[in-house]
Amino acid sequence: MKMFKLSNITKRTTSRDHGSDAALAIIELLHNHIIEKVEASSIDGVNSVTIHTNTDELMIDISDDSRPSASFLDEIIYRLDDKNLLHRFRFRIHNDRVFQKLEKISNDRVISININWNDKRKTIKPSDKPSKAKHKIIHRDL
Amino acid sequence: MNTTELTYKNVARQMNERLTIKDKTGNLDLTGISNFDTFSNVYITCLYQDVLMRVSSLNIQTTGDKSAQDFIGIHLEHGADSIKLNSTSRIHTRKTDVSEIQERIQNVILEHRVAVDLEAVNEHVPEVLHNAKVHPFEQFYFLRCGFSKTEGFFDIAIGDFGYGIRGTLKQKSEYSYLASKPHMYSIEKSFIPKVTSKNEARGMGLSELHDYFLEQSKGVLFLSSGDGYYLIENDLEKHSVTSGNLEYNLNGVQILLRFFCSE
Repeated sequence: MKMFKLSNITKRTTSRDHGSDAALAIIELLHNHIIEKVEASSIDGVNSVTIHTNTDELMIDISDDSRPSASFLDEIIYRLDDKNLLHRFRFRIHNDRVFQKLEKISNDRVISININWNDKRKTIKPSDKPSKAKHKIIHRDL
Repeated sequence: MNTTELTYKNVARQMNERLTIKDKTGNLDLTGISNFDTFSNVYITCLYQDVLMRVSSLNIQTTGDKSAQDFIGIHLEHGADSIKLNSTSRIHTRKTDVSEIQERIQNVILEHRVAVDLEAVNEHVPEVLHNAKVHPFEQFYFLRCGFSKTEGFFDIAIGDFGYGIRGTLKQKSEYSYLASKPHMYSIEKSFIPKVTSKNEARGMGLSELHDYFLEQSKGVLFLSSGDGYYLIENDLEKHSVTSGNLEYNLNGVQILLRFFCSE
């Protein structure tokens, strides 16, 4: 597989910027029908996703040793959703931490995210439960 | 003689009592202060810079062997290379990338063998740095790292004296109503996902930071802006989220992230 390195197409530095540029790269690859590996490296570990084609959907594989930040994933999901492309993708995930991040993004953005976890297909749907931001705040002057 | 220790909880009240401005002359009484935490130093440094813009002279009184420099980052080093433990740095927004600061903070943590969740630090601190970089009125912000080995926490305090959260949010028409409300409402609002003065893709960083600290068994998130504050304080005995008014109204945003070390 040909490697597609995000570092070759962006000079920006934050995880969110990497997510934005990764999403744009994915969209461009999709339009050109060339799906390769998209890799974003940042100093906070490796934000890395691999894109696979399938017969009916596209897989974004987040490997078990990858530690993508929430802002990186959020930006990719936002950008794909914004272009009405998110439903064509499924995120293959391997650990709880990434699942929790996707769950929070789903809740915060009120969008459904297709996943494949332990080879089981499911969809993370926005929860009806109140957001953590709506917890009880005590008012007290300091 | 009674001594006072400045912390994120009392520094605004103390500054309200200790700072007087009359006829363009400021007087800051720092006598009797025995110690200060990481946040207090950044808060006073922001206050000092803010007051300097409004007065023709500022007198600072200290006790005994203490000098103003002990409390305030006056003669500050610049840039990412200057970031050290217990030292306040002045960071130029245009000359220094967020990634440089993040890398330097990571090095400080590693150099001093601080056993904090590095992944969490690397995930959340850049969001705050990014906000400090794009929002302040001035072209720099202040940053200080502190480590308490005995109490087992690592502090990162970041402060500017720009428009503040209310001043930024009110620029967007849907939040213009916040202009007439106390700062604390704007601060509370800023932690809600997608609340931002920018486009819809943004407004997630503070929410992610907020939820991270909410979920920690030990940790402190303190944010002050204007005369409002927001505090998440978690330890083994209590979990609390408080918000309210401060006695001093300081421009900009000052934030403390306290990460506890693993046992």
